Amino acid sequence: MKKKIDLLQGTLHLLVLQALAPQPLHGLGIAQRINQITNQTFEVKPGSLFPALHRMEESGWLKANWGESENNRRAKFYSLTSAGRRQLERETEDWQRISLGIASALGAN
Amino acid sequence: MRIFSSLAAFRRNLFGSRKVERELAEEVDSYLALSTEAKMRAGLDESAARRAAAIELGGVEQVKEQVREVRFGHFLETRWQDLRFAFRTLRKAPVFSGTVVLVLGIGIGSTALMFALVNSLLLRGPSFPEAERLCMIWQKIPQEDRVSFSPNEFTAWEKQSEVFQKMAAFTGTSLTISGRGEPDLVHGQMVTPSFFEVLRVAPSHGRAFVAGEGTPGQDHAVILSHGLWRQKFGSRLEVLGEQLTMDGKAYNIVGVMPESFGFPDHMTKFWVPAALMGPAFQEHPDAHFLRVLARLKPGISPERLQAEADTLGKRVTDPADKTDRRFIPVELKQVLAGNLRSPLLVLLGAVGFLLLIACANVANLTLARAQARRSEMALRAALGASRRRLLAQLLTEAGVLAAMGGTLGLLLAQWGLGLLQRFANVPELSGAQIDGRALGFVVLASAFCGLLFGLGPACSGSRTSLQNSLSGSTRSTSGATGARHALVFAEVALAAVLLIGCALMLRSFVRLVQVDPGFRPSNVVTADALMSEDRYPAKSQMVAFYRTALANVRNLPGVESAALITHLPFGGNDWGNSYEVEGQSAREPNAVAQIRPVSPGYFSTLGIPLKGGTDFSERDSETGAGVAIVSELLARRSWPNDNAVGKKIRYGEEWLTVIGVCGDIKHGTLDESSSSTIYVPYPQVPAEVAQFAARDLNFVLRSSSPGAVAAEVRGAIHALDPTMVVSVNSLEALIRESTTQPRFRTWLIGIFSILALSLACLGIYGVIAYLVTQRYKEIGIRLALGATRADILGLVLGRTFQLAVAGIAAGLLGAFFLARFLDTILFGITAHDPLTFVVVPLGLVAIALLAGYLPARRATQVDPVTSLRCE
Repeated sequence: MKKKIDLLQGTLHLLVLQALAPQPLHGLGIAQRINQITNQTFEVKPGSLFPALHRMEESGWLKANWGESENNRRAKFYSLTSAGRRQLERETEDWQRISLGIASALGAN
Repeated sequence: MRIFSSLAAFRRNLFGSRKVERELAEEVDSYLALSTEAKMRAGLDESAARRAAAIELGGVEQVKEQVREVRFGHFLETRWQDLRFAFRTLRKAPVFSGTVVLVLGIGIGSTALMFALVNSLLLRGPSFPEAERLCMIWQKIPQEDRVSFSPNEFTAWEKQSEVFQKMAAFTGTSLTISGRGEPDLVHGQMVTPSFFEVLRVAPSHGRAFVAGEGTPGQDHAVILSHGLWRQKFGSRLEVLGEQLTMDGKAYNIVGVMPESFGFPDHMTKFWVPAALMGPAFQEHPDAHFLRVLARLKPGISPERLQAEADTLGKRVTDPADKTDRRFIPVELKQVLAGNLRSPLLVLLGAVGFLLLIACANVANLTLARAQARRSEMALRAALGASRRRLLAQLLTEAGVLAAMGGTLGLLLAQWGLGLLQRFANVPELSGAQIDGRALGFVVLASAFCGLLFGLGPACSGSRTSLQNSLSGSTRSTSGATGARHALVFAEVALAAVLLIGCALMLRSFVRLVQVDPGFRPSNVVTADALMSEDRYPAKSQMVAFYRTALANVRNLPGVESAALITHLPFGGNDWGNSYEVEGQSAREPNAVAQIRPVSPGYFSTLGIPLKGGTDFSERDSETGAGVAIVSELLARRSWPNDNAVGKKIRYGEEWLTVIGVCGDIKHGTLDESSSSTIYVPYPQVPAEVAQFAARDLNFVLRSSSPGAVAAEVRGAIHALDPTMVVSVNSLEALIRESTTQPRFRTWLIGIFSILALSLACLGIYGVIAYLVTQRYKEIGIRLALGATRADILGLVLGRTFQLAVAGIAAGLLGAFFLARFLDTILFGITAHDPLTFVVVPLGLVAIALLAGYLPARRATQVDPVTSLRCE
């Protein structure tokens, strides 16, 4: 099993936005999707996921609707708003710049 | 937009909180269910899956709380919750809350009151525009700090000054208003026309004086104070342009000042132009009676000002004048605060101590309460309240109490200020008010108190260990008890300092009123009658009135003896002059004596002893040879080794033969040192001097029925001149008036000290009572093992004694160092008065033991059987 990395503040937002980009998901779905798309690098606990989701909803990046899960359970589904999509683009750009910078810094010697 | 969605969320969180909560609960539940299902799909059986999911979630309530914490408005929402909860809790403990609010109210209220006084009188200063550039100028000579200017000096300086934008001179005057109801003697000021311009205050109606009104003949204009306008003219606007008759002369009313204006004091009822070149001033161009007010040019430093004062002082002074004169500018703010400054600061300090005691007391009460609430706190911690949340809750409670205490304090201060202004009889207080700054002070003081008494208990309360508290042990932690003892120690120490200050001021006040003024004031009625210039223009008319009036007064039934003086002791008037002793090298430059024209019989009527020679008689008339009676002090100074009687002395042109020596008396205040005095027969005052120095006749009448005489004397004078203003008083009342200020501050510090003492006693009582309940079981065991009730009493009182003595010792030490601030306002005792420093601590120990006795007695009534069974 790979070592789990604690999420940096801000990184979680980016991951949630990325996870929700293709389709709406409920809380557990988001956690699983993040786990999957990061090759099991990140495991998001509900204690940090839910506050982040609510915060992002209040910021207008996400909107939530109640719906049925795959096995017919009522669940709250989150989806990106247009503001959320713009935020995702912005954060992706930022992140790429940062990671390029850090990569070049690490490759310097 | 982000901001809109945030606002919408805020609104939802605050107003739709029930729906938001329900959805949150549902969301977490559904997560748990989905997660369980996922784990079951991965191969766990149902109970293991549920368990794993729950562990992964980490506590439903905690997750919910974490979500709540990131929400918009969460902070406000919890504060609001805390607030409502605080009100609920406090309402459930009305005795505790009531006591705390009352104690805080007293502490904050008295501090706010003193702050309002200090703020209005010392900090805020006069409310004139750019008042920091206003100053008054005096001359300082070796015998006196504040000597006024002469017309010549003022005019010379006014022309030469470089640092002043504008200068004004003024001098007090009393004129009789006639033709508007009863004739009335009112006090006013003669001011140079620049006066209002220097102050930069304009009349609320009409105009200020114009420069032309400062020339002789043009000076019959008057500006009324708001009070006089209301009293004599019913606040009619049409008064402008009307005429007012004062001392028989008609003055045009040109303006009315705003109500707030009262310069140089609030006794001033009118202002008339001073024509410095006119006869009234040019008759005595070198007499020092003008007070000088000036506005500095912008940016003049105090050093530059003093430098000009020094050089001009030398240039303006007459070279023949050998007196060592220095010109001293004093900032107007300081002038107005006057001698109230140090007493006010002392009182502010005292009241600060009172506030600290109140805080300590409240902290003690809240500590005790925190002890009692330990299990409640533990329970709330167990139910998920974070330490921060508990702390916030306790601080909110403290804040609510502080706010209520502050409000009560504000009301008390407002009420107290009203009382003071009505009853204290200190005119300077009339301008004091609770303004924005005082209000701000109350808010700050309350917040400070809230933090001070809220923080300690909050910390100890929120640190409670779960197990100890839930197990229900009522034994307090030693830390909290230590804190409570420390608080009582501080309270006692502070109260001791305050009480010593109070005792010092009380003793000083008693000393002051016990001072022998040098005469017997009891049973002496005084009647002050002023001869106006228009009705008595010449000295001969004045002397004629003097004779007939004195004869009339002497014939009143019940009068044992009657006499007259121009400047009555404690009457508020003064006449000093330089003098010369025959045969001694010229006029000694610094020799100034009080000159007192009197009638025969003055010394016996007042009870001033004649130490040698004889009293004046009717033969010492205007045609008789010039004579004088000198005070003992002057006799001793002038003829140290010789009998004064028969020697010659003069204050004017003519040499006077000394025919008697009388005892020294106090002229104006009880705490002054005696001054050299020359008494002269009234008819022998030189005519030109009599014009300004002998118009005021003060009859003194000794009688065994002073009430009856007081009622008659006005009639006896009015029988001769019905237009004359006569004010009747008693000599004792005049002396009492002179002690108004020390009386006022002694009362105030007395009240503060008694409050402090009561609070300290309350503190001692609380701690000892708590000690007794805590050691209930121990006391029971002791009793069961054979201790007597007296032993128990001794045990508890011993603890009280320890607490009190430690506090008092610290207080004594503090008082010893702080007492020097009292030095300037004490009279007749030193700041380290040994008697005070012995008696006050002893008294305090006794009072402390009394406060401990009540709980101690309860301890002796402990029933060993019940006490051992409890807990």
